[in-house]
Amino acid sequence: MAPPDTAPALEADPALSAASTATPTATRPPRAWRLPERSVTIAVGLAALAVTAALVVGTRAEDIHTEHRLLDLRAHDAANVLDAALPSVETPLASAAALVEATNGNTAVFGSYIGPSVGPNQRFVSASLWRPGDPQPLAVVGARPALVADPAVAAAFLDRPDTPSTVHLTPKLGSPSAPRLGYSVAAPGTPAPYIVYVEVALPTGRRINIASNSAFAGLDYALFIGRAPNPAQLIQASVPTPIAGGAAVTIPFGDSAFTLVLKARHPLAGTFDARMPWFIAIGGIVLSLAFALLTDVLVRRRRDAERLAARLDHVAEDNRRLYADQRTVAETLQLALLPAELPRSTHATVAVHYVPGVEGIHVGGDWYDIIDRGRSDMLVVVGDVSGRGLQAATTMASLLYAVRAYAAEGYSPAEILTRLSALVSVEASGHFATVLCASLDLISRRITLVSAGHLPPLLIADGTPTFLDCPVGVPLGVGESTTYSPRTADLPAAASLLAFTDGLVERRGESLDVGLERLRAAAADAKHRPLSDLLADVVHTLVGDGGDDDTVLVAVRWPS
Amino acid sequence: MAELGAQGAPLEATIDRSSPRRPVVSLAGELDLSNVGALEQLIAPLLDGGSHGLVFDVCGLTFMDSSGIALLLRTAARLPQVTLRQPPEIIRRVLDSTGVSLVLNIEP
Repeated sequence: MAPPDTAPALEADPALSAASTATPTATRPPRAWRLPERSVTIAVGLAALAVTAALVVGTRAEDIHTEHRLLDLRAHDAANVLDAALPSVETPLASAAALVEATNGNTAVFGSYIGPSVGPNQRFVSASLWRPGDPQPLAVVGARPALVADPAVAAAFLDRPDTPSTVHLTPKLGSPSAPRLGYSVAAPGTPAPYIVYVEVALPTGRRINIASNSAFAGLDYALFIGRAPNPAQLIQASVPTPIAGGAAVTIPFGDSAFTLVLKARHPLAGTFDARMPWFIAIGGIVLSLAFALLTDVLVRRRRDAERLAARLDHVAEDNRRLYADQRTVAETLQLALLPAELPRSTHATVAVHYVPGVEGIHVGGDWYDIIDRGRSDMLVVVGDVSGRGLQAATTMASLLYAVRAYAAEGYSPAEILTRLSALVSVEASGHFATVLCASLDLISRRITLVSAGHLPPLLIADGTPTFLDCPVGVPLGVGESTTYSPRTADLPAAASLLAFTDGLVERRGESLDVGLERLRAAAADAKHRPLSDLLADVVHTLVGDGGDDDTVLVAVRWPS
Repeated sequence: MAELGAQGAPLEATIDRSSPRRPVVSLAGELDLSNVGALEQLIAPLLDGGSHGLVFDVCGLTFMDSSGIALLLRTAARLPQVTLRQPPEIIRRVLDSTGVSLVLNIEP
């Protein structure tokens, strides 16, 4: 007599069970380091302001560049105007010098030639004829030359080894209230026999008002003797000198030059161009604020969305835990209810195998029971409550205990199922159950089999395994006091009987018969294998590591 | 038509109310624990709305587990005339093996 096989399901190790039910509590990844909330807004605002500043600076630089260019153009225009005016000074002087030389210093001829150009409203205020080295003029027309009042300047100015026909400019002359500027030209000859000298009046205080139609209109200007704007050599200016930031242009004249310094009173390119940087600055600041506000709104929305998502995660996590708890309770209940120990018999070997379904979080309602009723009468029950979870497990529990009670009362399988049918109502509980109940006489090998909608057991004897068909009654839960028809059969020696639940053979999209055939094939050489190995092999072949559904197998083998 | 398989097995359900006393619920796909709740919600108004009966047209069904059968049985327990129309061979085999075809009215 072989000891009863033990099956994995019976070794209901709490640790194992706990391990199998441990739901993956999603450990959240550590929160990534994040910028403070406001900093994104501030960064966007600052970036926009930086762009604005760059645009302002660029526009301003372009504007300054344009202004400089335009001022240079105006300065050159003004210099051209001035340059064109210079012959009006130069020509009479050169002609007078030629005339004086031709007439051997005839003062009368000099006077009559230059006279019309000299006077209060004429080009010159004073004209005079000089001999080089002589501190006094030979002749004077108009006002007395200011040069006479300053002998040192006169000597330095008149004693130079002049080249004929070259115009010389005096340094500044005259009183501050009546300043003058002097020009001289030496008559042809070496050394020059005569020098023609004229003085022009400069405006009082050397300050001049600019006519609106002049070349200098709209400009501040200052005119200097020499090639640099030397304040001591100022001829005249429209504003107090020095003029900061003006454009300077030099106009050669005789042996010296004039230097003209100009500055625009108003932006030459127009006020709009000049104000453009301001427009950009104001617009840029407004846009920067708008960007920052928009960013702030977006950041807040995103944060709110993240918080909501986190809350939803939390809820989902709670749900997972609840389901896991429920599953644990149901599984614990299921495992606790299933027989902890199989009855031992000297007449037959018994083995069971239980595989929990892997899909979903609910345990199923599959169960089995093997009850030794004495006198070699053994009751084998395999059942399957529809649905899953705690409700299915409790329905299963009530059925299991009811079967044990009715079995103890000595009821036949058919009577047991009829009584069970009163305990389940699909209308009330939502569940129904299929049950296979078999009473085995271990000695005579007579079996009485009843099915409430359950798949028939597989009989493995000599030859091909066959299903031990019996009338299929309605499942439990669809009506009270249903009657069931038993099938009685006498099994051959060395027979094995394998009862199971549909999880073993049922597959999506496949006929039940295909699964049943697979089972038959897997059990073909059953009698050469130990019963527990047979069950393990069958499960491995048909279910692998576990199907959608729970699977229960119960096997009884008679020795040969 | 309602897609009921968003979180589980694919299932399409169509309700035809052209005969209001006996609306037709056409099912296609797989009916199992993952979507049976959604289907039950979908047909709940038909059970409360004074229907005399209900037809489940299951010719498009490829799989039905015990939760699906339980739904059929619950519906049959509440309405006088519940009919299963044109179950495919695979479904028919399950109905026979579970004894459900003994209590449900089945139109081939």
